[in-house]
Amino acid sequence: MSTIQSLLILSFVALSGYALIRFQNAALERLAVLACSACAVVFVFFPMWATKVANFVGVGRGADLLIYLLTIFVFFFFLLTYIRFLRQDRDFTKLVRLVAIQMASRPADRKAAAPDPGEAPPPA
Amino acid sequence: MRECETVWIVVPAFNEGLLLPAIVDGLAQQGYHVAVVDDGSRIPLLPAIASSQAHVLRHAVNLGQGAALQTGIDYALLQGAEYIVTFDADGQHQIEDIERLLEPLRAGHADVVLGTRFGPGGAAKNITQGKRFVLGMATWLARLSTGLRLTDTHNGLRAFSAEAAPRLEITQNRMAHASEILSRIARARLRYVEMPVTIMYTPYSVQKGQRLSNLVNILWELLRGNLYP
Repeated sequence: MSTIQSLLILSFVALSGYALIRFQNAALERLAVLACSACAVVFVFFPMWATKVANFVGVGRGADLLIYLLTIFVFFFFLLTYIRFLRQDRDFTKLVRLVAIQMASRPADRKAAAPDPGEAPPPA
Repeated sequence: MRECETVWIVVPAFNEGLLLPAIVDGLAQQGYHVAVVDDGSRIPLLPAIASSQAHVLRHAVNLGQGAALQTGIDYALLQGAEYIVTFDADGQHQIEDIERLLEPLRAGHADVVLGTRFGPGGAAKNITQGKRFVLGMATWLARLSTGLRLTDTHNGLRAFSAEAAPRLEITQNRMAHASEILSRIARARLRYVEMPVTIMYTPYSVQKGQRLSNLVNILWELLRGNLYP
């Protein structure tokens, strides 16, 4: 086993382990990560298989196919993350708005809290 | 301002220490209810206007003018506003213009009244050529996308009825809210009319206001809003 192979295997094992611990209540995510890692490990040991798959879908080399898939993945990941960000931004706005309205300072309340300057005792 | 009616003026403010007290007092003297929305100013604005008749709301963090307007509108509706006017805190708007904006609402001719500085009777004092150009472009774009026949699409001085207010709901937190309001007017088929107003540019307001490069940001936010409504 070459150095790069052991490095890759180690990474995938670590990733799977993390996914198993982290996504306790998300069976689908766990399954997806495990399946991807398993695939990756197979291709690390048999790189020629990746090329066979690539040829099957009309790509010359396995490495090229990997780059294309990665590009698609990164794009979708960005989009999903962005949508999640917008949703959080919207919820955050609602929260800030709610606090602002509930804590509004009314003129009548301020008058009651502050002593009338006309009735202030004269300075000694 | 007439008796027995409740007009709320919503004033979004961000780091506006200088002119705010005079503006708020001027509005209150006319008998209007005033809601200042401090949009997370570095130094809270409440102390500067604590002795005024304004209701003061504060965003804990800066969200943008669109968000501040919506907060003020929500508050005014909760307080039982009949008519709501949005008014800038940088001294560009004239208090005298408010009555003219309210007339079509009182007469029942319109649901939304938009101020125009470029239409007949309107004025943009001390406006720079660059700003005139950018606003012209923005107006052209907004007319194209909404189909509304307007002469000034990015004027912060607006008035609308309590019935129309919920249908204008602003979700664009930052500067694209001006275009968003227009598209909501178009979509909800609200009756709108433009009224002439005077916008006074001062060195202070120009420094506080939009930069030319912000046109790009406005476009981007609109695009973003359409991507994920």
